[in-house]
Amino acid sequence: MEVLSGRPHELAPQILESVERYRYKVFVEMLGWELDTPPGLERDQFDHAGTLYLAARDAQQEVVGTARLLPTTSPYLLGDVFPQLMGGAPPPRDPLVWELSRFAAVDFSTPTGNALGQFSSPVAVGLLEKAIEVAAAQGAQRLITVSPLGIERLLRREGFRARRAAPPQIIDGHPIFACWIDLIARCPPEPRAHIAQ
Amino acid sequence: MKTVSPDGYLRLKARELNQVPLRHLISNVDDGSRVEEAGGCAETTLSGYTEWISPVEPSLSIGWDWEWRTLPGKSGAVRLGLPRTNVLLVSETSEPFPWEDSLQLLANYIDAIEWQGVAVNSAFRSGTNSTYNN
Repeated sequence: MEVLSGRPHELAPQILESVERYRYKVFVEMLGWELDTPPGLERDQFDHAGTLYLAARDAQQEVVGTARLLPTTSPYLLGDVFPQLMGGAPPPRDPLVWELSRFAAVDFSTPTGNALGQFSSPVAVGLLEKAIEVAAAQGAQRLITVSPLGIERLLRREGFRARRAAPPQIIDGHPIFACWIDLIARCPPEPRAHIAQ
Repeated sequence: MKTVSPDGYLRLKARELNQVPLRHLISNVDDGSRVEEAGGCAETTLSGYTEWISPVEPSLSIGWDWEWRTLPGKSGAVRLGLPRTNVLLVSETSEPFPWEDSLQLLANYIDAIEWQGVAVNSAFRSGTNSTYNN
């Protein structure tokens, strides 16, 4: 697997189009998000010349994962669309905080069929590590992301330092939340200790 | 009034935590939960998660995984692993505990409250909305 990253002018046009087609398959066709987007392509107001993209590709150069990074000092998804997920606290506007959005790592050859399928592929860990590296190179110290609730469990199992910003909210029947991810080295997954007796 | 710090933590002293009422938000059963039959015996693997909040802002949020355990003469849900939360516990002098220590203290707090019935019932029947008062 390789992970490409860059702003639109740094990426080949066919890469960006592949990313938009892949996002359409994941977020519109698979997850059923009702997005105002062109047929077959998925993009929104946060896709622009300043957006940092990541695209994971397999050995056949097919896109198998995507992510998007935005500084919180400019308009971004959580701050502009889901500020209520901060539980009354103001959404971050901080050069040290970047937003991770449209994160997906679906292996369409082995669909899981569950709500967390967008994160189910082994590609997810590599893609997130690359996103952390790219964000850190921009000066970020933390990421914030709007995610399904189960993502916090998966991040912890994989050794990422992630925590919620506020209580999850039920939106369209699904619990979602704002998740902080600290840009520190990932710890090896720890066994699920049976602490309570 | 407590506020969320710029780093995103809701800092609380342990005694303040004990004064916060918790309201059940949502619980669910994991997709992988199943009953397996082997050698004439049925083994149940049942697990899930539960989420609780404080009803006042800034809201405390805490959730944890659970697993159904069957022991001789006793069955029930037990917490599995450390909780997930926006709370960072601090000492009486407002010094923050290390994150993992704070999570362990919160785990101890969870183990001291009655959450199992509400969580498991809600996991199988949506709409349960209970409040736990310390």
